Amino acid sequence: MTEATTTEKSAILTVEAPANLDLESYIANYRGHTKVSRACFIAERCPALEIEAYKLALFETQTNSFDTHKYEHIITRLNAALKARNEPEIPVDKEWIQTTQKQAKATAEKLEAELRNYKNNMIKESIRMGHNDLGDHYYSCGELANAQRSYTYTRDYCASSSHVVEMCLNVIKVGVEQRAFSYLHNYIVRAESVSDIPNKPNTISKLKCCSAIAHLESTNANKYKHAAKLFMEVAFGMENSFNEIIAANDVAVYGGLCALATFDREELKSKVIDNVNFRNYLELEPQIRELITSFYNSKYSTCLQILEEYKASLKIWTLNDFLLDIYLSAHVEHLFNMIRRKALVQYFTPFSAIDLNVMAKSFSTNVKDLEDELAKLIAENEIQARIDSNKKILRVSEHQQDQRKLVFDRTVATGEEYQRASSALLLRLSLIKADMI
Amino acid sequence: MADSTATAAQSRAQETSTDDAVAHIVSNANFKDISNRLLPLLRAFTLTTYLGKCSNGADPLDQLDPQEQSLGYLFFITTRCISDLQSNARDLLRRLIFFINTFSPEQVHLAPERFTLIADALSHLAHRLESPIIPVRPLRTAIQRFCGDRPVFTSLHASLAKYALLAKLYKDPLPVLDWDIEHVDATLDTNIEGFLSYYYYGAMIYIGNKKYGRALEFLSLAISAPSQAVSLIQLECFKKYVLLSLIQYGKLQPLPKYTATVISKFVRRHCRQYISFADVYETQCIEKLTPALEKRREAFEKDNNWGLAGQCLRALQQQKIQGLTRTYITLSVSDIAEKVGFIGEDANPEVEKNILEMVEQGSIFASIEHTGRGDHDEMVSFHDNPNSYDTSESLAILDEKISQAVMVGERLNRQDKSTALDRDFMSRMMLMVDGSQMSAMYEDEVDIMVDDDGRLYA
Repeated sequence: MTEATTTEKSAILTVEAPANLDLESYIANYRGHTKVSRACFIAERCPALEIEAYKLALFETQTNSFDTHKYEHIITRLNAALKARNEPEIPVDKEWIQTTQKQAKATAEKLEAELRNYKNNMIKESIRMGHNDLGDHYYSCGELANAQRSYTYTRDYCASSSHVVEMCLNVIKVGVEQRAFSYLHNYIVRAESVSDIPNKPNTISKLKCCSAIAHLESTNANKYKHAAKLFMEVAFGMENSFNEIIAANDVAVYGGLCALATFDREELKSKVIDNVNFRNYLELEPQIRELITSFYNSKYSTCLQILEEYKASLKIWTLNDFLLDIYLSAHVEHLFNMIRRKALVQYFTPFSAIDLNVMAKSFSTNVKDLEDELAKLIAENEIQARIDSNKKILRVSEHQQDQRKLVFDRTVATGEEYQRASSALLLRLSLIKADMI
Repeated sequence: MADSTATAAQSRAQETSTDDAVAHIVSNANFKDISNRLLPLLRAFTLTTYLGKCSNGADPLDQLDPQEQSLGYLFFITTRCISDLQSNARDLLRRLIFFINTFSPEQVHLAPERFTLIADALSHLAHRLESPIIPVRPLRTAIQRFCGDRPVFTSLHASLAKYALLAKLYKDPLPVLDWDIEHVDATLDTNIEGFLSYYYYGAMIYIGNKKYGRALEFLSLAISAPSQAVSLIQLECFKKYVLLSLIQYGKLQPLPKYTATVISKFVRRHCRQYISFADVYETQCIEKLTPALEKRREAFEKDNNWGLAGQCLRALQQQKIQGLTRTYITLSVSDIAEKVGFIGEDANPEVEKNILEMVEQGSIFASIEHTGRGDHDEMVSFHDNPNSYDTSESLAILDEKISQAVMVGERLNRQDKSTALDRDFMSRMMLMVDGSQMSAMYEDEVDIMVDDDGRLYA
């Protein structure tokens, strides 16, 4: 399993245990490898839930996969945690490890032999299935690189569109787990362009989810916007059929946050609030819905309050603590900042002058901090205004005058620059002519 | 005919008396004679000839007219001033100055190497009379009269700048410095060293006048002059260039793209301290700047750049204050001090002083209010630039700038035409007739391998 450190850019933050996080039911939303990944992720970040999370992960690994490396890794971490709490350690089940490894190797050999056989017989379909099975096997053993390779081999042997789709989905699945999102786009696009996809709405939704997650992880500046748009388009029928990667709640949460951070008011209304489809998702996460509506209605204090609570602790039965979520944690701070800035800018737009005290109260912060934040926004040209620090007023700056002056200033500067450059070049030319080097 | 005269003259050179010399000079009156016959004779005369007196005891200098017989006079007087034997320095100086004020440029154009000696003459006299300010004015007049309409680079330019610096006369040479040189003529006994020195000293004079923008221009001209080897002058220029660029623009301006690559590489190796200092400056963080400055103190002092470096700190503070004018309408002095990074008890008066200075210079527009109310007892209000370009003055300024730009455009056109008619250029273009390449080349500007220094016109 990839260590979370490969994707975390900063140090791993520890988070206080959220009040009512029911780890069991949270994890029960997911299936397969992501269950283990998420559990480990939470365990690494939250000391209070560490033991429980590791135990869950252990159980899952032992029962449903052949991944002995992961098992060992989890056991060591779990025992370290237990020791730190002076609790008895869990013995490493060496026997299980050995049998599983032997079994894994045996299966691998068998599959490879079969594959060779098929290749000799040149039966396209069998070869494809052989590669596929091999890929599946490697995947459950946790050897992701091999799995990826096997799945890509099936590409050459795909005969029908359903094969193509299956291949793409497999590759994507492994890629997401490896968190190597760069080449995923290719496969997603390829899968989407296949003409008659079986089980169309669900597959399309799955693809959109993957694409959105890939965007989140990319370094594109507009990534949140792309991700948000894609999340909006996920059909609700998908429910939990894709919970090897993402659960329905997650769609609501990710989509809602990204949309809030990047959409402007019109888009927010048309694509999110009025979006029947997405509304179903929002039902699952009423907090997010409240977040969006309060922002839209300019009740910024409620909005920001909810954000704060989400960040640190949990409300009653919602299961998503953002910082403990594997895909979102790296982006939480950033998204929150974006939302806050948008709130500030939006708050100010209808006014030409506004008292900072009033503004500070509705944003539940003090005047000094607000002033600093606003100064930063002005410096980045998001707000066209200036601060009157004496009377604590934010005043709109006049554009008209500025524009005309700007043009004049620029003209004069350009003219001088032109003169200087041309004279320099002419002089240089005559130097060269005179051979004075 | 002229040849034989020259050789004959040479064989008689030993014997030519001062009398004869004077006679020759006086007899060749019209310009053609002067250039064809007199000049080789003059060049052949020896030192004694020039130093001697006429047979009737009169000083040849009295007999010759500086205006009519400028060439002859030039030879006489320069030789006399330079040689150590003469003791009447003051008298010579007077004559020399008179000459400079009255000589005829066409005649002097014929012997440019002698013209150079005027600078030496003046420096000798200055040294003799122990008054360093002597050479400056005369040199200035000499250059101005010599160049006439078209400012051309002479051998005297560098000397002018140097003596002005030594004499600490920063205002005097400005008329010459401000007059942009358009043309370099190889026949005028100038060399690249003189060129570089002129621009280096000229930049220092501008620094003395606090005209940093113009100094930067000069320095960049020197640094980007075509070269195949690096001159130390250019190295020194670059060091000052870095510091000035920081003061004036807040970041290190890139050198023009036609700077020779040898130079860029060389300065990058040898001026690392400066370049790293520029990096620190660009982070706009005052707390980091002061220690960075201290660390490089020795290096800067060795290059005599410590004063400039100190100014960088000031410039950064001012630039930060300018940034503040964009975000605030009013701000208390203590807040400014905090944001910009002043520390200590005298931070507030320091800030005030800075603001006053900036207002005087015209870089910001502000007013300070002392309301005397406890914590915020001084409020600074920033105003917009009231110059909205709708007065007749600003229109006049714009007009002038337009005409200047048009003139430069005309010069470019002329140059373009003359280059296109140049034989070398045409043969080059013929060589490159590769069908498509030819037309493509013609489409582009005259940007053809201009950075192949020397090879274009070789």
